[in-house]
Amino acid sequence: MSKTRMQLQLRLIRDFLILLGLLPTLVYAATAATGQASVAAELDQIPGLAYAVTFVSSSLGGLAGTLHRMSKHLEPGAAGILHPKVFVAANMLGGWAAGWFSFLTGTQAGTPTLLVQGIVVVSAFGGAAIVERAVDKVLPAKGKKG
Amino acid sequence: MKHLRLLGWVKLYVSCSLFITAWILLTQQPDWMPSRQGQYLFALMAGILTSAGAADAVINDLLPERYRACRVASAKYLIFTGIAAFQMALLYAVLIDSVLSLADMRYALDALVATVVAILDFLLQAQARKNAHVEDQDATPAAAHP
Repeated sequence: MSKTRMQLQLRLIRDFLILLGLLPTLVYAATAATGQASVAAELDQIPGLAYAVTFVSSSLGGLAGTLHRMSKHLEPGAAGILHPKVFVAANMLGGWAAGWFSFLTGTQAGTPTLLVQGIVVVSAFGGAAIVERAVDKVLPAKGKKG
Repeated sequence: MKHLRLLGWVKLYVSCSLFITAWILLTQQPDWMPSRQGQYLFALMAGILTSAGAADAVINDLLPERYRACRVASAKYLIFTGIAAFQMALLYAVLIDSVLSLADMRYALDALVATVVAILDFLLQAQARKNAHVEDQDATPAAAHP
């Protein structure tokens, strides 16, 4: 098996594992979003400023993910980024979506407060990658090595 | 060079600020962090980030250029977004489990400073890599001719 093929397969396995890990999160989030009374009451008790702080935390996770992936594409000899705005937007949107879902999940599960924020940041870091890869299939934002 | 030293001092401040916060939490045991294990875990992770951030600031920015911590330098944007995320997590915990005071807003200020530092560091690093790559390309044709 060639090295490129093996790398592609490893990347697919990694993406699948990430999705598998996120699946329970998405299920919980969907349950929370359907408006169950106990969850809605719990979310109502959270002050508005806390939601803003969570948004900032997921932005930080998305930013870390964006910079991490950007650094690989900006290395000397790398192909570069064809559409930087699409690249950044895809990463940040993925970070916000993953951060929000993990926040809903953590809040519903009664996770300790600091741990909820930790999960938000880590999820945003990983979620950015998933959305960016999905967008890259439709509109390649990165150049290809010639 | 002067700007780099200033950035180094700012990074040192941000790292020390997180260290002081973790120390205070460990010694004073606030009501909104009742779990002792949670305090130790938080202190451990904060200690790792503080050490990495301070090492980057002192070795890579404040000391002469012959001193270099390459592993830390390559991950500096992750370190400082991590520090920012920690500060925002603390602010969130105070918002949820305690009463927010004006003094707690320093977490937001430190997070903002850490985020700006992370972005500036990344941009400087990308620029330095680009300049080094251009210099290598310029030097190569000259070396080919005897």
